[in-house]
Amino acid sequence: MSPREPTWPCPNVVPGMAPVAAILARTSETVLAVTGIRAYPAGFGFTLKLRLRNLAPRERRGFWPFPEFGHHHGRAWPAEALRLSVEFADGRSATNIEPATIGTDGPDPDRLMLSDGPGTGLVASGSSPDRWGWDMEYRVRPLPPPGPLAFICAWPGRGIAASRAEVDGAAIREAAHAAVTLWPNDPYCGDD
Amino acid sequence: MEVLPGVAPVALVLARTDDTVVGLTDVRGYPEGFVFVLRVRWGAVVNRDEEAPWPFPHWGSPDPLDSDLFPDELLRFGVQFADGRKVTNLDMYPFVPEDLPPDQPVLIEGGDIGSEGGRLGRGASWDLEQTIQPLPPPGPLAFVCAWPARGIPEVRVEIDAGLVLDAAAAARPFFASEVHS
Repeated sequence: MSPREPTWPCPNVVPGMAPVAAILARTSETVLAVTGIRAYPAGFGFTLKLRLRNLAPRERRGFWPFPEFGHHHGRAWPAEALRLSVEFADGRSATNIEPATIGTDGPDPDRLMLSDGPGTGLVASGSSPDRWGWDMEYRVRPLPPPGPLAFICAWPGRGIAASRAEVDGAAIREAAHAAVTLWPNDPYCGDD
Repeated sequence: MEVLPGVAPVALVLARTDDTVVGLTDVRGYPEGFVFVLRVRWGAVVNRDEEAPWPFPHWGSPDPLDSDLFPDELLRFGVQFADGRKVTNLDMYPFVPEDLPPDQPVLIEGGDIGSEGGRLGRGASWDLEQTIQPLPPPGPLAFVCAWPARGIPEVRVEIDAGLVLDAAAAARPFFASEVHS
């Protein structure tokens, strides 16, 4: 999360739930899945589950495929970087390799933003030493419009070309309507 | 074999007062049981320097050597199946006795979401992942909580266990080749 980004989602909201559990990409050695989805008045959060097996010896020693958590100084992203995008039905999109910047007046409420969220990290290496697993939390603002909401990933280093899974944006909006704001006018929370 | 769980469309506010909320979300179904997140929230208080205590059993508050094992400051929480079987967070799991009947539900704290506590000056919040095993039978599935020191009497919210069972039925292995392994 950018240090200039306000805390979001505010713990002052109990989210609504859109029951999504979708395989985003799968090979014999790599699986990416989207699950959640927690919907808030101003956006939503989801969990990206990564499961890897049959790791190369170099990978067994540890690697980190999430570019948004590291520094990148080259002109091209390495093949080992996982590309993740979210695309709304109206064409707006955001990606983890080009995080949105926040202006001095705060985030543009209409600009789609994808950022990492709380609860992110390594969950298990599995029952054998050649496996890795991560559950990564991401947040998206604003809410999607009705229509297909696409999660798109590409991971050249793991043999995954561009792959996508779509869910109904209206279902997320409906879940957001069910979110409960606990204490109105909380001085520590924004409009989410 | 690790599976991608199914997700149930459940988001509950179990109890709510002017300064305390107990919510429940993120219900995921697995072949052996189900998992959810207990969301506990306290509103802001006047004394911003006050440290938030840990209001859950088994995690260091209160001192188990104290005379009162279950003081009013502890959140009581439990789950009851339609056939009457139940488990609570006061049952001292995960120290499961060896003679526990195999169909007796157990509640285990922990998971990948973890918990987060805030200072009371701006309120406090905890997100606690809880696991229940085994799956419930069809019928009403009740979530019950009480919190005497926070002014919450025993409250009970029921959902259709079918939501959990449907989510469990939708769980599938991450890797297709492990379906029968």
